[in-house]
Amino acid sequence: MMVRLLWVSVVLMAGASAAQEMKVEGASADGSAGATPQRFALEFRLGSFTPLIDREAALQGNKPYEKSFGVGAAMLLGELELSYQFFKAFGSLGVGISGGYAEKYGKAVGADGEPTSENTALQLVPMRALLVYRFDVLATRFRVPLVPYAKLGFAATYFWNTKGNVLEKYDTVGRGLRLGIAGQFGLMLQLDFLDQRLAHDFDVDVGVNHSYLFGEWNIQEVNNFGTGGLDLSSRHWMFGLAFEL
Amino acid sequence: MRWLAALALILSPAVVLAQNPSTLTQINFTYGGASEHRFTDSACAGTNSSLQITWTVPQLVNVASICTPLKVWLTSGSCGEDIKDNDISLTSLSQTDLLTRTGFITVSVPELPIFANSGVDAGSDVICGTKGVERTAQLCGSAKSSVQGCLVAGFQTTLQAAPLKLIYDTAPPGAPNLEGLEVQDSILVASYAVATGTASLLAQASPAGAGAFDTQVTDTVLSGRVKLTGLANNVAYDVRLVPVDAAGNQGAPSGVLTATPLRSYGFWANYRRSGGAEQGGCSAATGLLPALAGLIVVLLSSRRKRP
Repeated sequence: MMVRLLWVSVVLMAGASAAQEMKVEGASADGSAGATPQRFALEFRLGSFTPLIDREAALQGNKPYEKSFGVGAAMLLGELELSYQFFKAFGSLGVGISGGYAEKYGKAVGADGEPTSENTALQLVPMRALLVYRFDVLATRFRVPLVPYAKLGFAATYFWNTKGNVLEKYDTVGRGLRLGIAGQFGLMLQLDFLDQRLAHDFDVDVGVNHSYLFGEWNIQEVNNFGTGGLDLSSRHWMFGLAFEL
Repeated sequence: MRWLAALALILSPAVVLAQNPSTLTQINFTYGGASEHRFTDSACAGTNSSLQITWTVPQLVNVASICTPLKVWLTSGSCGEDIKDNDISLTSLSQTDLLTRTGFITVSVPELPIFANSGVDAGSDVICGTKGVERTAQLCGSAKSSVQGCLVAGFQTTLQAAPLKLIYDTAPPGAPNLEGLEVQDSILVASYAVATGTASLLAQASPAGAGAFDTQVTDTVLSGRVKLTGLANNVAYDVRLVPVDAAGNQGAPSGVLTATPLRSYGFWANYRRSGGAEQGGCSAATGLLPALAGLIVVLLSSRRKRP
């Protein structure tokens, strides 16, 4: 429900902005006078994330993630992404890398299955290498400040597990790296329309061509390409702030 | 104008003194880098019975403005500006000595003026070796100084050194209150409250009833919780806490509580016990991290080349 509301508000803001007079003193009609070259995008995003660990076939219906952290327990995930736009024509195409951190704490359980006083934690560092396409034609040619985009690429997630603040060992040590593929599909709201002059100054002074708020749907299959083992796949929403540089 | 100059001349020593309260602008006495030293009766004889004390003249102190030798003495009271009756004169440091900026003074512990056998009236029957007492002596120093020059009469003030407290402490700290034991995997966590004067705790464990208390952890943080690790699960342990003060005196132990560490299972153990196939390790992905690092380098170098 919240997500739907967010999208509605984004669309409404976009519509309102499109109706605005866009002329700004000192800028050309497309708002690009004096603009600095643009090649990069920097994104910061936050979201909640529940890894699909308990769906692993070998677990045969057992739910160790749920048992340790609770039913539907989500991890807070923060990510940073840097991409390089190497092709700009009908939209922009780029390559990017991202890295983040997520953690979840719960209580270790005793032999009777009851929670103990000891903490247990799962900590993740998700990383991705992505091909990024941004359909920015609406924003650059038609003054509609919406930029749909899609990202596809490879994902790697380093994980480790602690109990009582030390790495947990149970016949093997609880840490490793899982590989997979990832896709992200989202919509960016270009914020320049809020204050064209400020956006122009931000570009000339700092080199930030455009600023965005965005929301995106993440799909990732991080289970070593289906070969078994810890399944860190997920489906989740992320929201954040982006700058084109 | 003349009266203004005279007033400035009169006030200038006061200004200098007002600027000199910190140890940065004071002659200091220290032992082991500290301005306070606690010791027990083990310092009454043997190699510990002589204390080598460091004196330091910071660079901010103008030795040329010190007009008289720095008198150094021991007192069982407050230092004051000059040596008093029942104080023990130790030495005096000349201006030439002070120009070296640092040096040592040796003090004999049994001769401190806090002891009845020191040769001065300490006003008590405490001797070096008496148990259960705490007495403080101070190493003091003072000299006359003048910022107008030592030949100008009437403007000299007393320059006092920052004293060193020498505390004979054979009073043990009070017993701590062992409030509870938290059971963990191979671990017992003791929660406690300590008595005033406790500088550290010895947390001791022993298989229940054995009385050996040979498993020991020293807690210097005194956070209210101390963890005894490396214990065997499913074995009952007696736990007690022994307080230690800054001088090294051990007090009476706390009461004894008994608890049994128990195996617990974190996420990884739950996962593996549930049949999870993951073995851990990075063997499946050794090539990816260098590839990502290479991509970062390419991106950053490309950014620098931009006109």
